[in-house]
Amino acid sequence: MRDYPSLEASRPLNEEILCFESRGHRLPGILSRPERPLPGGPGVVIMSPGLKHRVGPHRMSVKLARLFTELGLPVLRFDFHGTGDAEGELPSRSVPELHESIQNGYFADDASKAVAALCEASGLDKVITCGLCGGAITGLYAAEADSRVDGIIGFQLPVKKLDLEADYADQISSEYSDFILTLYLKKIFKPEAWKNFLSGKSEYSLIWKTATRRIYRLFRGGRGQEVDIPDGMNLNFLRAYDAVAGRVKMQWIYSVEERARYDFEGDFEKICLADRERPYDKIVLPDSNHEFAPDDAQARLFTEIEAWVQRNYGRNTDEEG
Amino acid sequence: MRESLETFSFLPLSGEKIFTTMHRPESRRGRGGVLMLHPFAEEKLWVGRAGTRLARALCAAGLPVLRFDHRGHGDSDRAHHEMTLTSMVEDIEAAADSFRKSEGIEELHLFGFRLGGTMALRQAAGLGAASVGAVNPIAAGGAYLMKALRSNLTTQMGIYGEVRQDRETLLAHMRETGMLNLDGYHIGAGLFDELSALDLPADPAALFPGPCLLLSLLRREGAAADAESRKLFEALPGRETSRLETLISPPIWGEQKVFAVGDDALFAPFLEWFGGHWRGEASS
Repeated sequence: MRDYPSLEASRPLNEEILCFESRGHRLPGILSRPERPLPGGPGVVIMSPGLKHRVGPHRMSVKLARLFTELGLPVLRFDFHGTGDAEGELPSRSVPELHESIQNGYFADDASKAVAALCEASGLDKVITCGLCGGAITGLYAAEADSRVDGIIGFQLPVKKLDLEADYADQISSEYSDFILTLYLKKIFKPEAWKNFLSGKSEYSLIWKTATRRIYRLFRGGRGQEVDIPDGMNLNFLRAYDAVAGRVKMQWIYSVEERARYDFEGDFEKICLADRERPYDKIVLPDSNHEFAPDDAQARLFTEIEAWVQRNYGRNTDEEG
Repeated sequence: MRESLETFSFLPLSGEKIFTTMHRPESRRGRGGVLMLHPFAEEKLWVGRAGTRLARALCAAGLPVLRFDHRGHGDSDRAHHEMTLTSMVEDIEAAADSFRKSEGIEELHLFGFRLGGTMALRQAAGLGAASVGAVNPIAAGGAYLMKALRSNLTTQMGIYGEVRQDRETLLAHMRETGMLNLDGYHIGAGLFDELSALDLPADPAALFPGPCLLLSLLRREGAAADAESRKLFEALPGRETSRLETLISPPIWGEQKVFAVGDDALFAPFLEWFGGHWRGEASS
């Protein structure tokens, strides 16, 4: 596993400002160039999760830029319009609404322009997109639109849409529903949990629906009702996935307790894909939160990304003396 | 509006580079300019868009504005753990010097959200600044860091269902390894100690003696300004030419359901202040 974090002094990255236009808005970006480019290697466009600045939560995009340039790949990170230092404004201030828009491709145009900008600036015609959550799915949309996208690295990729009207309990997959029920059952002998339950602080609808759903499946037995596409699947995601599967190399990384993982495995893999091929690598990392903040989580994340890049694109063979 | 007069660049500093954003007005008003100092760690990202839009609003009012990333933050060089109070001061001085020279700034104003406001209050005198503006500045670094440690404990609860490393264990680990993980950032032990020792109200001589505008964001109508802003205001040597104001608004430096881009209510006090109200109006 990568030795991370390290107390060693970091070497300044070879970076330059790279601005480009998307729909009349100027989008600022930082292009990081490797000291030793990987022959035939792709460039990397890091997609921010959506509303935060291009450096990403805990400066993740900068850490990734350092990793990718060490592997010999040039990297572009940038702000979507209406965010960070970019021009333009977003159509809403509601974070749930904006997240829903992003998951349905709101930033797809900006992402495509970023791919084009990196290719032009680096002279490459092959790119990997890399991003967390909204950044992961935006990278998938960029792949759908542009055949120069050869690979996608996505963390906590969301595959179900956020229905702002529907009850949360009705949107989650059976697997995640069971997981939540397990968490509640673990609290059954905890006085604090009963205090919350009796004082109106519990999520009664969620408890009721996860329990009754489980009991219903126990009585019905077997696999339950067959469906082609489970309720709440993001159809834009399915379309984009179908368009690129088989052409684009994909690495999907989840943390164990991430809701999106349950959706991916329970609804997408088990039901949508069923017996179809799975032309991607999926990694599930323990002991992490959504942003991979703990040290071990970051170390594992970077190790897996490094291994995937080297497997798919090779490595620099010149050894430094 | 086309932000065509915004320039992004890297400012060289001792073999490293600092990312800067210069906002140049089409039509300049006076010889003043505003240097914006940013908050710490993830708070910088949460207020980022509001900071960008405040800078644009000030620029539209005729004031040049320079924003920059401290080394160890944003797009500047250094990993986060390499940040020290000394490097922060060097960054501020280099940015101010560059700003003055490139834009001919005669009246330098400093502005900051949160720890950026604290550093503005601390460094303004040494820079010969004309005034300071701050939103919910941090009065005492020790209390701030202890609160920030809580988020580490919350993350552990979310992952493990329990706290496996309490505060004391985390701090002991920091002494051993030289750094502490706060929401994925690695704060160096040296900076942790330096920020912990920062207590501006206890050392009024370290505070800017000139006019300051402190704005406290509050959730409830009728509430008093937050304790830290009040303590700082009471300690200001230039209290008579300074103001402490409040605004009903959820804190914009943390997670929330509304994308914090700032609005006229947040910007107006600083547009007025840097536009001329800093010149000795009566304190509130």
